[in-house]
Amino acid sequence: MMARSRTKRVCATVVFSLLFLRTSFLRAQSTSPTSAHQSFQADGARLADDGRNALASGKYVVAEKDYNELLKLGVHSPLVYSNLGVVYMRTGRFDQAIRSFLEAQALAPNVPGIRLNLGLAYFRKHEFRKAAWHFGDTLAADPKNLQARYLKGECHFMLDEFSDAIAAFEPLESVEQNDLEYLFMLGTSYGMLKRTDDSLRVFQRMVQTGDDTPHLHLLLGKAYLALGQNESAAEELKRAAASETIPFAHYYLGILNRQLGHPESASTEFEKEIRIDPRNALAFKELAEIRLDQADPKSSIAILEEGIAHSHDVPELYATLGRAYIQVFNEAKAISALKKAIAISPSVGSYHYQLGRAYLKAGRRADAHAEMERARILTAQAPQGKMRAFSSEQETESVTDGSH
Amino acid sequence: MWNIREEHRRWMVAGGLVCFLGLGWLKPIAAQKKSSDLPRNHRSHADSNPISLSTPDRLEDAVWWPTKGTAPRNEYVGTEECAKCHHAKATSQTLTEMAHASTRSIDPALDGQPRLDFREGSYDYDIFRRGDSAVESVADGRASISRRLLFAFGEGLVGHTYIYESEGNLYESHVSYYSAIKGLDLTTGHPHSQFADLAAALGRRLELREAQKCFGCHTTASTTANHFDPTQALAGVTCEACHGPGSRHVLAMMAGQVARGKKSIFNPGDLDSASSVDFCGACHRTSGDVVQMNVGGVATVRFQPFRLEQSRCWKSANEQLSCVTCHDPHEPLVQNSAHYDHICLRCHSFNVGDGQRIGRGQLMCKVSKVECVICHMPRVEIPGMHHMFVDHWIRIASSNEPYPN
Repeated sequence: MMARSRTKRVCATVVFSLLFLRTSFLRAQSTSPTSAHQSFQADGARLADDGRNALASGKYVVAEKDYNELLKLGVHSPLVYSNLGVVYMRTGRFDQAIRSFLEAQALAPNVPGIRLNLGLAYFRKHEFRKAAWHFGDTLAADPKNLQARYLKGECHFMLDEFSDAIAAFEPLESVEQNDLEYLFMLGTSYGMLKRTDDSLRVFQRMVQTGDDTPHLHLLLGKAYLALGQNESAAEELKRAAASETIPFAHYYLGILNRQLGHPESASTEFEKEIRIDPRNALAFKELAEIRLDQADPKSSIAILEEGIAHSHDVPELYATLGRAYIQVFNEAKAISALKKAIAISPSVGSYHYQLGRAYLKAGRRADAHAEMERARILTAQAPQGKMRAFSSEQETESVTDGSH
Repeated sequence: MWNIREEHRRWMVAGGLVCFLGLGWLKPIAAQKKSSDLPRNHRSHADSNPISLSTPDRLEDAVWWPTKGTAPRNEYVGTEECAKCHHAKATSQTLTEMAHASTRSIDPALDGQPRLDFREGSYDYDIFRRGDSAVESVADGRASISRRLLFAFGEGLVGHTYIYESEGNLYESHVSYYSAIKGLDLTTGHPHSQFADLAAALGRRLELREAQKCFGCHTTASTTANHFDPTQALAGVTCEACHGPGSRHVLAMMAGQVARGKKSIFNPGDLDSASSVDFCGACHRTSGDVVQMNVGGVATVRFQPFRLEQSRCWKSANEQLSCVTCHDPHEPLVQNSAHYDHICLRCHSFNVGDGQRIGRGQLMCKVSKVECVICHMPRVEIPGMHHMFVDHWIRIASSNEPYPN
């Protein structure tokens, strides 16, 4: 998949040498070369080494402890903040990662690797506007940074900014011509702008590259679905689903059937998807929404509880659960579920809206008003792109970050 | 000694006095009758902060709400039946823009012209009469296809978009009529494109849910008993699109059961202001809808309830402002901007130097006391729509400000 191929690609990671850190120690301590300070310096160097080794070997608890110790010792270097940010990234704490990277950037504003990591943190948080800005910033400093270019294009794609996506993607065509995910995004972007010839050319390239695999048919199905060519989408997705092994083929068939107004067929597809991959939280969400549409909130709640048991950190599940609890007049549970969704994704306006609605039902009018207002402001700031719905599997995978 | 009952009584008296003094500042044009039949949309005037909900939530909660498709078709009686008792309102309502939100007739669809044509790339579009129908055709120099038009959506102030049916599916025409240019252009949102075939060039297929939503607002009774059937739809927004199906009301009133009759019809005039704005927003889009739709930018200028709810007027009017404060849904839209001045001046009547403000008196505009809406509700053009929409976000707008989200 794309993230794995992206992992294999060369990341534009910036390597700070440990010397940088040592130099900063020496600079900090040069005025008082006592033995206590020499000991302090040695402790710092040891912690930095340990932290780096722990980070490299995936011992994130140790690495986090080491880097925080360094900060307590007063070593506020870009390296410490940056690597601490990477620890937070790899443990899924994106807000903390962003704060660390911002500290690092303030100390070392011209290091492209920090900007790239900042972009990656926003990307992982699905804040594509900010991510695109940081990837653009990285590119401005380092125009040959292929990863920044690729991710910038992907951000614009997610935001439905197809001209910008194409502008970012096109220079990569020679190096990415065998990357199916890349071709999918480029071809779909052309298609959305009705550049039919370009779109067909890229999709033909996908067919040549894809070797008739289920993955190829899945991507083509998604592209047709995004472009509103439902018959072609159904055909490709059915071919992808025929293997009964590839995730997301039944999911997108379900989406297609929902769009066509066939909720029962859609339910069947989502159930098949869940059997193939019980960690596909979005399939649980779609199935639960169908039950809500059918005025069956109790079934919806059961489906969502099961989904959460498999994937406890997907905000969409909690948000839909909140809606379902509102329908059965259990405002307390609705508020709790919606708060969990917001804790994971604080900037999604519709979650705040639903929380406001739950407060309203619970008679907490002032709280309701505050949440509704937050929802409005968030929506005005950052409307989301349609393409996010066609990129679900990418979003669940990790993106390579750069540690130093 | 402190007496809890006495304290409670004092608060009740004070509260009653506040409520009494607070009422009656702004009476909406539409009647604000009190009734007990549909209380779930009501709330106390003591509540501040009006709260907008999304239309799906309103539909979920309310017994009746525009676009609700639960009632069976045989409960709809038609405007003629309403007019037997409510003659004046039913008659004037037929003259409104909402009543003409769609038409099956040829003349309005063609705006009185014998033929409309348009060229886009290699495609030639024509809309013309054939017998007692309007037909749209497209040709590319080698072949042509045509379809009979079922409906023209839009009352004509902005224009019309045409709906046709083919092989069991509903389609939105690729070209629309725009009143400002008195001719055809691409339908908003449709691409300039080279299409795979002529059928694709003629129009865009509407997914079932999308079609249901379009018909839900442009026609009456297109979805009944939860079943979408556009062939049964009544063109335009009729009495029953807002008041709900009328058969029970008619039967009760004819039997002299007035109380029962009043309870069996929905009166939007009984709604509190937030609900009232959301009621119109069922088609014109509420703030909650915009949040759920996740849209922003200039396209939202068409969502008047959403825009109104961003206004300081709305937030500070304490339940006294809603769509019907300015617009009577039973009367045609008044286009004369001076018509609305007296509504602004009801609150904005306080001059600096007049001394202490009284009641809800707000500062009067220093620039003018006439045609307030021209400055405070600027017109905004949506690219490709050939129309300047009035921005219902009432504000002190400066000439170079970006469109406020």
